[in-house]
Amino acid sequence: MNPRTEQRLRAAFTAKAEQVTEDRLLARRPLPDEDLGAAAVMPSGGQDPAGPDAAGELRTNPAWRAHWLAPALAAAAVARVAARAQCPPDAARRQAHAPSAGQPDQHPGGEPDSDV
Amino acid sequence: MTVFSEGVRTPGPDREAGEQVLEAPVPLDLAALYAAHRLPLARFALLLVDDMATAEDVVHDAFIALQQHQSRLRDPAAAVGYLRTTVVNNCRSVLRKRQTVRRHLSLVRDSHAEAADSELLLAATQQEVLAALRRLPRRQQEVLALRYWGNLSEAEIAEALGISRGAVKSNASRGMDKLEAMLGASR
Repeated sequence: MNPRTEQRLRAAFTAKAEQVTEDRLLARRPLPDEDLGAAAVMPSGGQDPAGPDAAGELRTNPAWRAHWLAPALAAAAVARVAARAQCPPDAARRQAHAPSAGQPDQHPGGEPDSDV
Repeated sequence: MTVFSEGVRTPGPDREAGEQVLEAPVPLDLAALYAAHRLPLARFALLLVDDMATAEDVVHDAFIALQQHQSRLRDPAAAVGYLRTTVVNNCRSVLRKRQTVRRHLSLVRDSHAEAADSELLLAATQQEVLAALRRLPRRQQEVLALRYWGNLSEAEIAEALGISRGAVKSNASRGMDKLEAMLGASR
């Protein structure tokens, strides 16, 4: 194996990967205030995150985002599944939770990934 | 140095090495995991899916999956591995859907035209390497990204991709051989 190729590959990966920065992630998608509505009805219950600084916290505080945004996104995912399948949220929630351990979606035929 | 730090672990009861875990699962500190791993995982996902918005979605979906399935995780220290595997699987799903869309609707690089723009920011030599990389089979791209960007061991790559260590070695070796041939031929 040519060390120069390894070096070039590492450099290219690093340059590409470093295009993702915290600032760019936060800047590219400022969360609209209505997302707080989804957070407030998160399935696991808990405190009401609504408040004057809630939107600012969601945009700037990663820990807060983890705490509130993930459940909100989960609720949104359930809503998406429900809309797509036109089924009640309970059934959709079961579907949304169905792929265990992050298994990739299956082809209609259920074929595994091919290397080619 | 590993890009994927394993340093953030959820506090749990002290255990002797190898001691069997019989008690209830220790709750994960998702906020700490998110703070420590969102960025490196998004960077890794970008190398596979090639656009930042999708990379971010893929990582968020992985955290959602972890949150939903955390009760099944016996060992909190396995959370990072779980996230990594989920990101790989989510990226595969995204790429497969893109392929299907292109095949049926003849859309070429529609949803990730941004990738072309972002590559303009890279040096010509880096663009050349990444273009050659994309011509490799997907599994070889994944192995090379985890090895040469993530600095993961063969065992960790095998776990993340759900393949044997032998398959990791052969995919890395074949991938590098092809890459060398392509980059050599383009000079």
